[in-house]
Amino acid sequence: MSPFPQRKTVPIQENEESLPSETKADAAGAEEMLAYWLLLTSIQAQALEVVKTRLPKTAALVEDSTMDLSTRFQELARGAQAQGEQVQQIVDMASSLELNGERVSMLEFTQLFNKTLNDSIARILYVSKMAMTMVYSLDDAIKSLGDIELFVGQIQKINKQTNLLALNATIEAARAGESGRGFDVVANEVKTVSRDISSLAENMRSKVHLVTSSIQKGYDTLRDVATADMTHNIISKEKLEGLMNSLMNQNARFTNTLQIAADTSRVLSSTIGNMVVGMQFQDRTTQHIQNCVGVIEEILQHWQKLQAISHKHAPAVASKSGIEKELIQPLGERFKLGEFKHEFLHNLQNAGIIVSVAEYGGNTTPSGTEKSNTEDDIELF
Amino acid sequence: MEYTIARHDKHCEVRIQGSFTFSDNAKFRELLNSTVNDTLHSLTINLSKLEFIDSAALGMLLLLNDAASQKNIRITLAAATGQIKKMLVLSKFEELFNIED
Repeated sequence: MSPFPQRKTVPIQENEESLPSETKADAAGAEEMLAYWLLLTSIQAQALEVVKTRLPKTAALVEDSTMDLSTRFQELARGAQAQGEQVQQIVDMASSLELNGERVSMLEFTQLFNKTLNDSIARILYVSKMAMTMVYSLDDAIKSLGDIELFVGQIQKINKQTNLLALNATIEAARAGESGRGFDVVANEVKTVSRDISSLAENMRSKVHLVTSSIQKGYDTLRDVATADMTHNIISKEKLEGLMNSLMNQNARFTNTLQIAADTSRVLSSTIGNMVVGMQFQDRTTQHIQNCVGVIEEILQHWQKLQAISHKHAPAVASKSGIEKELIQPLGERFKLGEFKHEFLHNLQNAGIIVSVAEYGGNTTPSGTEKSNTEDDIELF
Repeated sequence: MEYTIARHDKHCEVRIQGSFTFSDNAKFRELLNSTVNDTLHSLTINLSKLEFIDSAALGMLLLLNDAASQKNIRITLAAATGQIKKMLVLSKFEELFNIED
């Protein structure tokens, strides 16, 4: 329905000329004011019409964006949670080691390591002690062998005397002649026995020498067993313990940092979860907008009534124009988005308030086309 | 290795100096035989002047401990420093001997 069907001035009073000049001036002012009011409300109504149609679209846009954001945040929350769990797994792994297919905690590992080290030291000391026992036993053996050599020497000395005695007996037997013949035989036998004893003593002496030198070799071997390398092994235990402690400390720091990372992930996951819950309250935005739309609809109904009454009772005033540009131009500028402005101007044109949208820098193509939507999108950013 | 022996009735104090290694085995045996006897109650070995000890020497100290234990003699290892102290700690000698600083 067009509230401005014609553009002609109709006199309000038939007997205008008969009125006093003051009353005439007041009537003209009231008429101008009423015309201004009517035009303003008409333009406002078209502007509100735009707002009314646009608000639900905005609500839908907000809802779509919120849903989209909510979905993405849920993904993010899941990601953060998964990350937290992975880091927690690393934390658990860092505090234990796999040994022969079994999980051993770092503490157990250190205890095992220390026990192994202590056992090796104990073994080294045991070997050293046994080696020294052997050394002392060999010392005793060498001493006894020395005694045996002395005994052999004494045997040889006695044997020499026996041999001398046999020689004397032979001489005495020769001097005794025929009666000494028996002694000569005995003396020769004694000589033979003495020779046998001498060779036996010589054998014993060389065997004792052999045993002594074998023992000496064993003694040298024991020296190697009991000394140098073992000392280094004992000292290296200290180094290994130091290394182990340093490893434990490093691992503790590592685990601590990872634990912090795991905690952070958990906090992140929970914060994102809360954000998602917060977003679900976006339906309140929709409610607010619906409320606004209801109010606007009510206002628009009143405006239509006002238009009808105006045309009925003051058709001349209702058709009065001349200040449209002044009112429409700044309001049109307020619609920053081209799409909005376009719709506003077309509404005005349809209502007959303006003749052409082009007059106000509007686009002559119908509003809501794909093209203008694209332009709006660009303007948004 | 050099040593001195100071006897005080049932107690005996031995001071060892220099390096105590495998080659001192004969000397140490002589020390053992001249100190450990039925009348002795306690034996202190002062190690303050000792500069080096090897694992063979630790073995000899263990033999001394065995011999002393049989006669109920308490052995104290005293005033060990540096490498000597480290070796005694690593070998856990405090479990077998009295250790004094």
